[in-house]
Amino acid sequence: VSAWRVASGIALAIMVVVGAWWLAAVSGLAAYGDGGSAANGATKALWLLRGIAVTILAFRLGALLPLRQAVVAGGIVIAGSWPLLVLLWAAGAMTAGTALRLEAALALIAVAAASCAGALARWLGRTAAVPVATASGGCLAALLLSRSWPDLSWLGWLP
Amino acid sequence: VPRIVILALASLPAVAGGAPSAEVSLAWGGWSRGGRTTWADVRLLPPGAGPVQLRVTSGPETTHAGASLAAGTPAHLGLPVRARDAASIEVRWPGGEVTVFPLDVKLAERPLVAWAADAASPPASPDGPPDHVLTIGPEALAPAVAAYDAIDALVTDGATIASLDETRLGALLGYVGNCGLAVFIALPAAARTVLDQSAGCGGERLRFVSDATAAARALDDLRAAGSPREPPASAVARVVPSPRDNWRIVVLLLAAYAGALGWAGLVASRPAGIAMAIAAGTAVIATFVAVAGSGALLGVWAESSSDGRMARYRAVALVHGSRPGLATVPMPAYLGAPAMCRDDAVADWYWNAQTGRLERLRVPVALFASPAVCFSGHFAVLRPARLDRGRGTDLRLTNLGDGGWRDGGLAVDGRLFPFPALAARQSIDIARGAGQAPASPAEALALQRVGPGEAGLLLALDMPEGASEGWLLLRIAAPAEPRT
Repeated sequence: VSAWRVASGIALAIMVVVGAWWLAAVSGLAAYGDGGSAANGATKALWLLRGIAVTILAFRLGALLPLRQAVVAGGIVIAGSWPLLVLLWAAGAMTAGTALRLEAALALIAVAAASCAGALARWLGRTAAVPVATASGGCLAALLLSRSWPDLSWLGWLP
Repeated sequence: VPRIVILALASLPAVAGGAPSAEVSLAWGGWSRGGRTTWADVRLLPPGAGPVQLRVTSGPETTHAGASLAAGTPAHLGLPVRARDAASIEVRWPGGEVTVFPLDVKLAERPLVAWAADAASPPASPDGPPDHVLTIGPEALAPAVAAYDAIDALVTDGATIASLDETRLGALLGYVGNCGLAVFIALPAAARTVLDQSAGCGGERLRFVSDATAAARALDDLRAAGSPREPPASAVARVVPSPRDNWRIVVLLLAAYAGALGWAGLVASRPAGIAMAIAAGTAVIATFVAVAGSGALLGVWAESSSDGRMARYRAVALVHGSRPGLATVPMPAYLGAPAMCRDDAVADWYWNAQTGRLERLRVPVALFASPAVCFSGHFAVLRPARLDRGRGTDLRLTNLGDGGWRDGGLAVDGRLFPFPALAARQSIDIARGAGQAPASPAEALALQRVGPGEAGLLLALDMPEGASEGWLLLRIAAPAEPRT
C-alpha cells in the first residue's frame, strides 16, 4: 500500500470524525444559538488529531522511505482537513493568522519527524530504525496529547 | 420630581462662543426592571453649529444617534436605553470634544408600579408582596411607548390624563394597546371609551375604578389573572425560515469532498491526484464561505381573539452569515420595540432621531451563529368568526366579518383542518375526518397555542416585501350549541 494512500485514509478518517462531531453539535443548537464554541472545540480537536497522526506517521515513514515521500504523506494528512478547517474558521473565533501558524507548526512537525527518522535509519539501519522511530513517534504523540490534556473543556459540547 | 438630572458644565473645555452643556434624564427617575428598555431624554445646548454624535453604552450593546445643532439653540433627543447597571452616554460635540455622562439606572427587584394619580400616597397592596411604587406627576410619565417596558404596571387618574401632552398621551395609548397592565381612577366616560378601543388583549389588562383603594385591589386582581400567554421568542424563532439551509449545504459539500478524497486515495497512482482533490475541495468550500453572504430572516406571530380589535405580536429576525464579520441589517419600520433576544448579545444600534426609531443594527455574525432580534407590539385587527360543532359530524366555520379571508387552517382538538378562502359572511363545513398533523412549524405552534376545548384560526399575514413569514392565530369564541 502506497504511503500517500495510507495518508489520505488517515486524513479522511480524521476529517469525517471531527466534521460529523461538529455538524451534530451545531444541528442541536437552539433557534438562535451560537455555534462558535462548538467550532472552536472542533478546531482544537482537528489540530490535536492531525498532530498525533502526523507525528507517528512521519516518524515511521521517515525511517522506511526517502524524506520527500515521508513529508508528502505527512502533508496529505495535514492538508486533507483544510476544507473542514475553512468551515471551522468561518464558524469560530480563530483568526486566519492563528490558523496559518498552526498549519505551519504541523508542517514543521512533519518535516522534523521525517528528518529525525531518516537520520535514525542511516545510523541504526532501516530494519532496526523502524520500530525505534515508530515508538519515538508514539511517545511524542503521547506527549502532545498529555500537553493538551488539561485543556479539554471543548469536549463539553459532545452531542 | 423623580428625574435624574446630570448637569455637565464645569467639566467641559471652553470652545468658541462658550462651553457646551447637556442635561440627561432617565424616564421613571432611572428606575427599571433589569434587562428591560427605558428611555433617556438628552437636552443639548451647543455653543456652535454642527453635527453632534451620541453613543449610549449599556453592557454589550451600543446605540448610536446623531443630530444637527444650530448655534445657541437647544436640541432635544430621546432614545431608548437597555436597563443595565453600567450605562453611559457619550456626547461628541461639533468641535470634537467628548463628554461622558454616566446613567444612573436603578434596577428594581420587585414589580415596578408607576403611580401617577392625585392620591397622596398609594395604599398598600392588600394581597401579595409589596411593590416598588414610584409616585410621579403627569410630567414624569414617559414620552415614548418604549419607556413603558421598564415598568410592570401603571395607575393613573382622569386629572393626570387630562393634563398630558400629545406625546405622552400617545405613549400611554401605545402601552395600553401593548397589553400593558393599567388601572385608571375616576376616568370620564369619553376617555374610558378611547382606552377601551385602544386596549390590547381584549381589554383584559385594564381596570377602571373609582378610588385609590379600589385601584390597589384592582391591580392585585389583574396580576392574579396572570399575564397573557405569550409564545416564547424561541418558539416564534422556529416559525422563521431557518438559515440552517447553510447546514445542509455544508453537509453536502463535506460529504462530496470526503467522497472525492477517498476516491483519489484509492485510484490515484501519484500524490498529485490526492493534492488536486484537496485543492478542489478547499477552493469550493472557500468559495461557498465567501459568497454565501449575510442577511436577516423574519418571522411574525400574532394572536388575537375573533371578537377582539387588537392583535399582539412577537417577531424574531434571525441575522445570519457565512463567515466571521459584522452584518448590518435594517430594522423593519412596521415592527415595534426591537431588542436583542439574548441579553448577552453584542450589538450596535443606530437610532434615527427624525423618525424616532432604531433604524438599523450591526451585529457580529459567523457560520451557524445567528444573533436574533425580538420585536413586540400590536396592530388593529377585525376578523370575527364563529365555529359550530356538529355532533360527531362536521365543523361549521363562519366568517362573520365584512372582509374575506385567505385560505388557512383551523386548529381544534389537536388537529389542523385546512380550509379554502372564505368570502364575507360565508360559511364552510369542514369534515372532522379532514384533520391533519401539523406540516409546518407555524401549524405546530398553532396547535401548541390552542388548548383543549379551544379553537384557533391560523391565517397567513400579508407581509411587506422582503419579510419572511407572518401568521395570525385568532382564538375563536366558545363553539355554539351543536346543530341539529
